[in-house]
Order: sequence, then structure tokens, then C-alpha cells
Amino acid sequence: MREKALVGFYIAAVILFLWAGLAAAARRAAPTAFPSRRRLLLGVVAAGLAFLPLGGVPLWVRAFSFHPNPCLPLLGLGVVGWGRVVLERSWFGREDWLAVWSFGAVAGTVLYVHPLVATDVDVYFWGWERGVAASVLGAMAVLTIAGGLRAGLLLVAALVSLGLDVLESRNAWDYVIDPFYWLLSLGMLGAAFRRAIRRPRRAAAAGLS
Amino acid sequence: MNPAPAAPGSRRLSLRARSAGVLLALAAVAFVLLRGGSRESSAPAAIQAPSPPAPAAAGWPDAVPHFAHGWVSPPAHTRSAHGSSLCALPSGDLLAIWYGGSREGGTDVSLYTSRLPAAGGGWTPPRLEMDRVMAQQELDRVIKKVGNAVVFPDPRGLLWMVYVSVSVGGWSGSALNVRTSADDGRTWSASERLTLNPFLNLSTLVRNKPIFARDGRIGLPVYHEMAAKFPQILWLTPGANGRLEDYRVRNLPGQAGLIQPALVPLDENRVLMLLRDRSADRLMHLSLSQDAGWTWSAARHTDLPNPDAAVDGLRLRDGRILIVYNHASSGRENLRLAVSSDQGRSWRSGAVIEETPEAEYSYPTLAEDREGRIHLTYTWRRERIRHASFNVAWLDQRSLAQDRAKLP
Repeated sequence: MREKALVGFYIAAVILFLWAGLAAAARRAAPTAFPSRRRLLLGVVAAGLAFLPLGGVPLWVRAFSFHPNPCLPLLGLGVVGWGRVVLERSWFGREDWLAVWSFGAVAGTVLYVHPLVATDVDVYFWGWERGVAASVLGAMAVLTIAGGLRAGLLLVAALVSLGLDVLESRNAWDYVIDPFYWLLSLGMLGAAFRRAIRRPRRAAAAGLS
Repeated sequence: MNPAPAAPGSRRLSLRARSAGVLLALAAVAFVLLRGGSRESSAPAAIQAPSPPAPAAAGWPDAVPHFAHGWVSPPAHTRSAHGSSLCALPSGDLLAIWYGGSREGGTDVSLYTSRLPAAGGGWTPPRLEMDRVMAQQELDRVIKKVGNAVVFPDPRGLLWMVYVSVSVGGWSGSALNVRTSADDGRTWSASERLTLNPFLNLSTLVRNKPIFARDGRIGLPVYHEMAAKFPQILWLTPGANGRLEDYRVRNLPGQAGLIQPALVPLDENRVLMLLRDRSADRLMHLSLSQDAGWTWSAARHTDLPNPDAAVDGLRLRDGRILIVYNHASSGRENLRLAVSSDQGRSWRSGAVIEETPEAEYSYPTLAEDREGRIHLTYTWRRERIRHASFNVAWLDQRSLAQDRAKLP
């Protein structure tokens, strides 16, 4: 029963990402002609693609084989991205994005890099302590939401999913961070940092000329 | 008073939305706690003590030395055979599992079992238990190959199979899967994938048999191979109806470069761990747990060589520890026994089971049957799985003979 629910959840996630990706590509190709019927059609195409056999194996199975535990913040970002390109709704503000990328960069670096640096600390093991993990995540979610950030809702989604055992993993870490979210966060923060450094230089150059 | 105007791009929640969000977050925490927040773990109070001596009236110990050699896998059953694991079933039968195919890591590799009935007779013909296609169907994902497997009965009589499968890359891309059997391995549950690593669940492997905690938990020695190599203990919690209720894995610090841990329970609290050495030292290492396998001392090397090869150990009923290993710093051309009478502090090298230049004898595994007889299976030249059985009288006889040979 749980396995069937997991598979259904995973297929839905793959379709969502494909739909958002196709919609983003279509919008870029023809920004002025993107009626709702065409958006819906892309959803149908995405569903078809998810079951498209590649080498005899459906695309969603290939994705599941490689990445069986997509974290909830990443899935949430997929939903936000889907809302942006398909529904043309912008749910996240600048502070939300900053919070999302900062959390991903810090959590991922702690989790994935620590075994190479401090072998005496087993950070991943903390994730099996569901009570403790839920309390920490809950506190972070409360602080983020009380600060007015919608990004805190991604942590709430992770908590609910942990309670429902939505993922294959039973470790709380896998509900809040995965390697793709981590690398994406590092990339986005790096890009933002580079932009922030370039801006004063440009301003200074403009002042000199 | 009007709130300060939001910065451009800002999209803060309203006060009402914040309140609702906070309540939602608190409700979510309560939900997790109610659903399973009590799964916190701690060290087991004790482990199942090693087997007590059988009554002498039952004919134990065997006073007459006994040694016999045989084969688990038939000739030319598969081109390559490797990685056997052996256990004694509650019925008294012995069950061996190994993988065979055209070559190690080949897509045609399958897991096979064979049974040695307690009632007598030889090993039964190999039975196909798992292959790449079956694993793919049971796990709903692409499986490139299957590999190392262990089988063991828990104290309630439920038989467990834990096996390696790979979806991406080589052996360092391995993940573990569990099946259980309520009828001594005649039928198995569908495989369940365990998530044991945060990085795409890559690189957890298994090789040796577990210890059993008094509270029902099973401590299975496993290891990690990608980027850093180190041993781990996987704690499995059996549930009702033969299902896996919970599991968690603990990294063992201070043991980098050491893999394929083999556990030997010394008493209710102390467990000895033998380790394969992947470093340039090429020495077998040991670690000791004083709290039923939960925490471990930093590993120290022994005087025994280890050519980056698997070892296994067994506590004999008289309290001595028997190990089987390759006595060389490189190559796996011999397979030898050694015994410790002081719980691993010193070792007395004993009988040579195999020795042929240029040949490979590896991946040994030990088990003791109901009568106290010791069984050993191992990879024979990567072609077949071989079986040796012997008793303590034979072990002592061989040790004495070696001592006499050393006399001037």
C-alpha cells in the first residue's frame, strides 16, 4: 500500500517538473501566444512523457532509479516554478528565494561535506530521531513564517510528508535536502553573490566615465 | 499606523496568514510526533549471548577429530561464483547464498541458494533467488546488477535476506534491499529498498552476519565505499507479520579505510569487530564494543596480515574465537584459520584450508550448526563455492601438530 502511494507521488512529481519545464520552454519560444488551452495540453504531453519508455523503461522509473528521494523543498520549488510559468502566478518574493537558497546551501553543505571533514560526528544519524527532527524543523518553520516568508511553508510540507512517510526514506534529512537542491542552492547563491559584487563595480565605472 | 512600505520584490505574508502558517507548522510537528515521534534509539540493553555449551551427554564435544571438504555449487553451474554467506536455520539445515554469472558485476549475475539438510545428504541443487530483472520488478527501478548477499534467521525464526543492488555506477553505487521468509527460505517477501545514505542513497554494502539484541533489534555490519570508506552498523527493527518496522544506520568513526566488518559477540555486552584493511598497512584490524554494538573503540591493527580481503569470525562454545582469513599481504592464494584464547588480543595461526600459487580463495564465511560443528564456505578460484566442515577436536589437533612442527 505504502509502495503504491510512493510510486503515485513520484509520478506526480515527475509530471509536474516536466510540465513546468515544457511550459517554460514554450513561453520562451513564443511569449505572446500562450493560451490556457495550450498550457493544459503541455500538461498532457508531460504526463505522456513521464511514461515514455526509454530503452524499455519509462522515464519516471529512470528518474526514480537515480533520485528516489526528492526533498520537499525541491518539490515545492517545482510547484512554485510551475505556478509561475503555467498559472503566471508569482508566489515567492525576493526574501523567500534568498531563504530557500540559503537553507539549501547550509543544510546540504553540513550534511554532505561533514563525513569528509569530521568523521566523529554522524549528522545523518540525527535524522532518524524523528521527534527531535520534527521539533527542530517545526521551530525553523515557525520562525520563517512568523517572519512573513512563504518559504516556511516548504518546511511545513516537509513535516507533513515526514509524518505520512511519503518518501522511500525514513530519515528526516531526506525530506528537507537532496543533492540537486543543494547544488542548485549553491549555484543560485553564487550567482547572486557575483551580481552583488559586480553592481558596485559597474556603478563605480559609470561614475568615472 | 501604516506598516512600512514593502521593498521592491518583497511579498511578505499578512499578519493573519502568518498566524495561520504558525498554527499549521505546530500542527504538523504534533502530527509527526503522534505518528512516530517515539522512534528515538539508544544502545541495546544486551545482545543474545553466544550459544551455551551443549550437554556432554548429547555427544558433544566430539572427541574424534573431524574434517570434510565438499562443494556447495555444482561444477560449471555458472562461469563465475563469489561472495557466499552461510547460516544455520532453526530446523538444523544449513543455508548458503552466493552470486554467480558470467563475471562479477555482469548483468546476468543472479543470487542462488543451496541447502544442506540436517537429516543428511548433500547440498541441494542451486535455486535462483534473485536476479536483475526480478529486482527491477520488485523495486520499481532500473537495476544494473545484483551482488553480495547475506541470509540469517532472527531469534523468532524469521529468515532475512539482505542483498546489494546497483542502479548507477559500480559497486560503490550499491544500495541494500531486504526480503524476509517465514518458511525457512522457501518463499520470500517482495524486496524493500533501504535508504541509508543521504547522497542519492549510494554506496552501502553488506558482507557478514549480524548480532541480535535482546530487544529484538538486529545489528547488521555494513560498510560505505564512495569517497570515504568506513564500516557502519545497520540496526533493523522487525515488526509484526515479518515486516521491517524501522531501521537506521550508524557510521563508525575512527575506522577510515576499513571495510567489511565481521562481528563476533563475546558476551551479552561485548562484541568484537574484525575489519578488512584497504590501507597500505595490509593488516587485519579489530575494534571492540562494550555496549552491545552501539559504540566502538578506535580500530587497532593485529599482527595478522590482510591482503585487502574479507575475513569472518565465530565464537566457539569454549569461549575461544575462530577466524578465517587470507594469510598474506597481497593476493588471496591461501585461506587459513586462526584462534584467539584471549578475546582477540593475540592470535595463534592454525590450519591451512587452501593454498595454491596464483589461485584465489576468498570471501570466507563461518557458521556453527546445532551440534557445535563448524562450517565454512568460500569462493574457490572464482569458479565455485566450496564447503568445509570440522570440529573443535580437529582444530586443536591441527594446532598441536603445528606447534610440534615448530619445535627444534
